[in-house]
Amino acid sequence: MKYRDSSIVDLLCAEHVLGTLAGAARRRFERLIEQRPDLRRRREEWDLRLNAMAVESVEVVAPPGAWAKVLSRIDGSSSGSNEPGLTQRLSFWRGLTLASWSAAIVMAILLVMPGQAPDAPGYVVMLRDEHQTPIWVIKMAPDAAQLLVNKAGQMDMPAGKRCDLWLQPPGSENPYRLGSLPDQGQMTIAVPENLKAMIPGQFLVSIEDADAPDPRHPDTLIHMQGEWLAPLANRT
Amino acid sequence: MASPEELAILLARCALKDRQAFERLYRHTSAKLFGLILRIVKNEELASDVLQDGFVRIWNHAADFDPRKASAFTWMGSIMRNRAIDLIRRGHTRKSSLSNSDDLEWLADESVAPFLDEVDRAESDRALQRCLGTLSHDQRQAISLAYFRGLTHEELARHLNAPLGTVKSWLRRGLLRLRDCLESE
Repeated sequence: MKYRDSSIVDLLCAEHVLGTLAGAARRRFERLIEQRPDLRRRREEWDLRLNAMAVESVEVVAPPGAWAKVLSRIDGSSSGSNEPGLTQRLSFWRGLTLASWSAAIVMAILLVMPGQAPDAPGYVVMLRDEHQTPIWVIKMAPDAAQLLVNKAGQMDMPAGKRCDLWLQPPGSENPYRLGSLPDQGQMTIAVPENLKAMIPGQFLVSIEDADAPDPRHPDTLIHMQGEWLAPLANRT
Repeated sequence: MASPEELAILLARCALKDRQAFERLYRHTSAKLFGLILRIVKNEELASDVLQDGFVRIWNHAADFDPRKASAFTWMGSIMRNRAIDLIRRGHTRKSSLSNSDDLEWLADESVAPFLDEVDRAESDRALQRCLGTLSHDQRQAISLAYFRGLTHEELARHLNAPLGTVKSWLRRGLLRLRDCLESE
């Protein structure tokens, strides 16, 4: 398959969204797309183009019991989410070794930071654990001068440890330390002048000894993925 | 239905496990999504199951939504469509539905034309409609069947009673033409 041929690649992306790319061709394409951000972007473009067809569906009222069933299912899946049990606490540390954390992006700035002034919405990234539980919400003012970090969820940290936040610029192998993440409540982290130009970049979180001086390199690094998002709150 | 911005905010609140937002999201979108699913699976009970699965997934993965890549409804519609198509590919739903002559007729008539009468669309949707309108009937029908029924190349060829190569050509030329048209809008 000529993956360098732009038209062929575009068709593969389109047919992947449409669902007509099947079998070995689909598997090959999905392997390839894992390594090719440009293909992911083109696939997303097709996703947007073709799935706009969904808007054209005629409205049909759903059966009256459907909502109750949805509620009962999310109740079952999220019970006790505010009070992490042993499994969740253990899985946090398992998550460290598996490097399985992920970052995701949300926009509900005022919801997660009710005490913050609404006039500096900036950008928001939510860091979640492997159970999709939000742990920190990071908000950055538009001038990139500082980060407002809110502890959003429970996490079982062993005594004598802390989490540090790092920024990895696009295309760089080196993470740059921004500061320590709060155990609870919120914290402001000033973005050094020389790091402002590296934003947007990728956030990384490391585990450090609580009493260690600010490290130049992360000790135990947890890889995160995510992109910055222009906020809705900037709209008038 | 609520505006795309309202839906995006509701999704963001769902990511933070805001039940009230989730309920409003359901209220605003479930009828449209149910219509989409019903169109694919053509069975109310199965459609209800897909709708429930889809909303549970939306609740669990709301934080993955990125408004730069798609509108909130497009994202939710994509979840529902994928689940509906998975269902008909896994089970016998398609086989039973395709053995029904009414359904075959419905499939044969599948096109975007019935939607052209709808009003109050977003500009991007109007652009899609305009561009779909520039495709040949065969191209439009092939894309629409694949989208709404999840048919493979071979199934499309059988349904449209056309050689496999011809169907692939309809699809591919139609998709490229659609892309060029949307980019020029």
